[in-house]
This record gives sequence, C-alpha cells and structure tokens, in this order.
Amino acid sequence: MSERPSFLVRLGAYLVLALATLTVMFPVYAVAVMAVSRAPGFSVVLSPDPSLFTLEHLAKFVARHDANGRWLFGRQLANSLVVAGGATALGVLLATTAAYAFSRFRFPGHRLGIASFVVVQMFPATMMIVPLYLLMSALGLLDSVVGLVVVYATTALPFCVWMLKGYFDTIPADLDEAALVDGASRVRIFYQVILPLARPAIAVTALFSFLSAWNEFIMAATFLSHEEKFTLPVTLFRHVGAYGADWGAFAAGSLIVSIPVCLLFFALQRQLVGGLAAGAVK
Amino acid sequence: MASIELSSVTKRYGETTIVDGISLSIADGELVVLVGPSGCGKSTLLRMVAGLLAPTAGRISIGGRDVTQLEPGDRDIAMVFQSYALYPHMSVRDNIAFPLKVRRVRPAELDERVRRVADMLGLAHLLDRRPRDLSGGQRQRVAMGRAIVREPKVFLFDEPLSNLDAALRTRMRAEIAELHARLKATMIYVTHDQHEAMTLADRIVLLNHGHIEQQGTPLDLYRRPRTRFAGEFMGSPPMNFLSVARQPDALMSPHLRVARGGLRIDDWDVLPEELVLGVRPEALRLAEHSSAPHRLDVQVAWVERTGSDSYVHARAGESSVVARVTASDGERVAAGSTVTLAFDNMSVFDRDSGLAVAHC
Repeated sequence: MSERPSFLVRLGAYLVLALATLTVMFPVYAVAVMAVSRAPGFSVVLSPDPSLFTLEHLAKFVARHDANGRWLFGRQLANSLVVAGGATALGVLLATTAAYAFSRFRFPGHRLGIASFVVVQMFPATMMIVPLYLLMSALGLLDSVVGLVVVYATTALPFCVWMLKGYFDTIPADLDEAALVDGASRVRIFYQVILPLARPAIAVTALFSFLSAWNEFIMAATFLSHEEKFTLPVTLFRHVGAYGADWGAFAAGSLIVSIPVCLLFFALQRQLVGGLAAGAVK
Repeated sequence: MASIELSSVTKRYGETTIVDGISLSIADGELVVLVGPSGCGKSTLLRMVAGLLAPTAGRISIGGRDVTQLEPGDRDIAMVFQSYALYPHMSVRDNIAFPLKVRRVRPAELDERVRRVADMLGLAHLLDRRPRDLSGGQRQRVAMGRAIVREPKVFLFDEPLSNLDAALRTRMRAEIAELHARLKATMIYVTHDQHEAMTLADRIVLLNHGHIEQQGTPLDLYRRPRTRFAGEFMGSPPMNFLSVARQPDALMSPHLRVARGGLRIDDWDVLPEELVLGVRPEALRLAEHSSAPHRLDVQVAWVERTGSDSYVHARAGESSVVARVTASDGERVAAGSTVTLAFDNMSVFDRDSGLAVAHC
C-alpha cells in the first residue's frame, strides 16, 4: 500500500483540477448567460445581472417561421436529426460489417484497404468539397437531406471501420471458431456473438458519427441552399451575419443545438466508459 | 459415433510445410491423443479435422463420409478449445444451449438436454452465471458441456487443460477419461504434455516436424520407442542417452558396459559401430555389487528427494544422467561420490539415424 498523499499535495491537486474544470466550463457558462440576458454582447458574461434575465432569445430561436408561415426551427431540427441519425445508422451498419471482414478474413486488397483507411484521414474534409459537389450534382443529391446523409456516412466511414476493426481484433477468433463448430453461420456469429461483445466500441463509433454529422457546417452550408433544408449549424451561422451579430439569439441557438448531444452522452455514458477503456484490461 | 480416416493430409503455408502427408485411421470410440512438441503440427491437424483449416492436400472422412470440403458445422463434431471459447455475454445455460439453438431444437427438448448435461457435469447451480463469474475448472466444464449437449459423432480437444493449475488438471483429466468411458465417443485429444497423453490415450500418435514419429498404445511408446526422439519425448524425467561403441561381446564406453548376452540381438555384427544407449531413469538402480551385467559408473552431482522417490542427478563423462531410486537408496548417496548403477531395460539407437535397433 502506498502512503496517502499529504494534505498540501491533495489541496494542490484539487486546485489544479478546479482550475481546469473552470477553464473548460467557462465557455459553456458564457453562452448560457448570453442566451438568457437582455444585454447585448459579451460584457454581460463578466457581470451577470439577474434583472436582465429573459427567455426571449430562446423563444425567438425556436419560434422562427418562414415567409409561408412554416415553422422553420421544427423543420431544421428534424433535418439535423435525420441527417445525423441517418448518417450514424448507415455509417455504423457499413462500418461494423466492413470492420468484421477486415478483422477476420484475408482477401485480395485487404492490406491496401486498411492502408487507404488511414491515408484518407490525412486529407482535410474541405479538400473533398469540390469533387463531392460535382458528384452530388451529377446524382441530383444537392440541396437534399438524403444527399447529406450519404456524404456524412461515407466521410466518417474510414475512421469508424478503423476503430471497430481494432476492437474486433481484440475479440478472440476462438469465439468465431467455437460458433462455427457449433454450426452457426457467419451472419449469425456476427450478430449473436461478435456484435454484442463489441457494444462499447459501437457506442463510441456511433457517437462519433452522430457528433460529426450533427456539428458539421462547411459541407452542409455548401450543399444546401434553401432555408427549409438547412441543418441547425447552418441556421446558427445565419445569426452572425455580415451586417452585425445577434449574439443573444446565437447563444440561445447554441444551447438548444447542444441539448440532443448532451442527452446522447448521458444515454451512452456507461457504454462509452467501457469503450474508451476497451482493450486496456482483457 | 464414427471412425475417422485421414489420407495424406497436408498443410503448407508458402514454402513451409506444417503437416506433411499424414495418414491415420481412428476407430469408432477410440481416444487418440496427438502429442508432440510445439510446432509439430498437432493443433493444425486437429483444426483440419474440425474444418477450421482447409488441408492443402489429402482427404478427411468421418463415419465413412468425405468431409474435406464441408463446413465445421456440417461435420457433426464438437470441439473444446484451450481458451474454452465461452461466449462471454451469455449465461452458462445459453452457452450450453447455443449449438442446439443453432440447430433449431424444440425448446422443451433443449431445456431437457441442457439440464441433463448440467447435472452430469455438476453445473446445475451455475446455469444463470456468466463465464466471468466462474473458476477455471468450471469454465472448462461448461466448454465440455457445450460439446456434449450436441451428442456429436466426434469430440475434438485442443489442449483443454493447459490453462488449469496442476491439481485441477489432474482432476479434469480423470473427468475426461470418465466421460470417454461413459459416452464411448470417438475423441481426438491434442496436448504437448506427455503425461496427459500417457494417462488418457487408447492410442498415442507422436508427431514431430509434421509427420508421425510413432503411434501405438502408451506403454508401447514408452517401452519401445521407435526413435531417439520418441524415447526422449515420452517420459519424465526423459530417457538418459549415452554414447557407446559396439565391441565383440559388449557395448562399451569409459563409464558403461552392457553385456551382449542380455541384449538378445541376433545380427550383432551388422549393427553400426557407433550407437546410443537409452535408459529410463526408473530402470536405473544402485548396484549391490560390481558384477551386474549392465552397469554404469556415475559421479553424483546432487540428489533431489521427493519423499516417495529420490532423483539422483549425476554425470557419466560428458553425459548427464538422472536415476530414479527409492527414498532409502537416495539417502545412501552423497553428492560428489561415485556410484555404480545397474539396469536391465534399455533401448539401443543408431547414433546417426536415431532409429532404434534393439529394446530389452
């Protein structure tokens, strides 16, 4: 047993941790204060005034309607959910099957495939915008939520496959073989033996896909042109225009946009901890 | 139940041959142990019988049916893995039931069969536990249960006891022997532990460098090793080997004399001149007087006392020698002293080819 650290050491450690927490939490605090304060700009953050409290910004962001009287926020929230959810579902479905194949089978192009998954990570996403734009245009998928689902699912795919393959590699091949001898088909082994064991890794991968798609701005802003097709990050950006910024509404929008992500984190918390520590102790 | 027939089964990876044209017949209900050092091809051979590896050449049939091209699940075999390969997310009950579920066995029958196997293996009270909550021995039993519940034609065991401690290994070995007696199933059992092979096998198949070095009953291999390798591998501590030269009336070395009379070799004169004598440690005893027909002079290095026996570690010139003697004889021997050991049983090998030329 090691000796319990002295009071001063512990105090120091807590101070450092407290400072780190404050640093991380400050932007969240700033956005929250701006979202519920009547005063414009950043000044209110340093001297918050309860008398300036308002829900006006939040209400304004949520209640937006377009010229035809359609509820814009509702549509855009739905767009974001469909895009992020769809990209996650499609991406995870493709990534788990591909990763299983790359983990368990040796086939022509195996090494090349693995290497290319890593290599494509070196290029920034912005590089792909022009070719993707041309492709989407040719396929008639511009200004469409479905198009964005396809783009997000495929751009996240290399990382997801890589991540999942790494995890599948840690699941002993003996299990596959035992199930084969027991008479199970490869498909059954995948769904009943491997997938349940890979749940933590799948949770991390799904969260990554969802977050990437939920937060993505550049491609969405490039490929979508009508307001009713926008995802929330694109809408949010519209509040900081060339002719001045509505910081209150922007902050309110930011808060609202982050709520689903927080909920998802809480829902997956248990799986995530398992996933991040996966392979550490086996 | 079924017989197994391997004809010229070969496995190559590029230029490397792991299993080199092995042909082997295993009778219905026989327990054959494949034994050999690491890398001898025993596990590869077993995995080919299981269908987990495809042979490069050759044919495998089970119960008269050619299964070479069949999937593992279609061969009517069950296998117990060294790692047990239990499904970690399933309960003991679901682990045992898995092969039955795959085969769409009716729920009532499934429950009945799982219960019967669990009772047989003493797992009934553990059915709702997960594998991680079980001890090594219990996991081992679940793995056996999953194999038994299928009622397959053939059982394959791939070093199933290697991960257990010594006491548990002895107990599980007895359970496997009992299981074999009860089920009368054909079994192939792979191990690198010659002791396990000796105690379990109806027949031992000793593999070396991808081919069969020798096969036969355990005692046959033990008493009449066909090669020096077989003599060395079977038995613990291993056989002692001593270089000898053939003289007209004896095998001689500066420390050793084996009288020709005791060897019963008819064509003495056609034997190679350079030979190697193999003597088991337990064949050696302290000589009461120096007139023993076969004797060996050694210098004692140290004596290892186990209580029931003593192992005398000694040197005869360049060769080291181990003799297993009675505890009381062990007490009479002091380190550093020179003693004469007598023996009656031995094997004689050709020094160059390693093949046995005589046993007695």
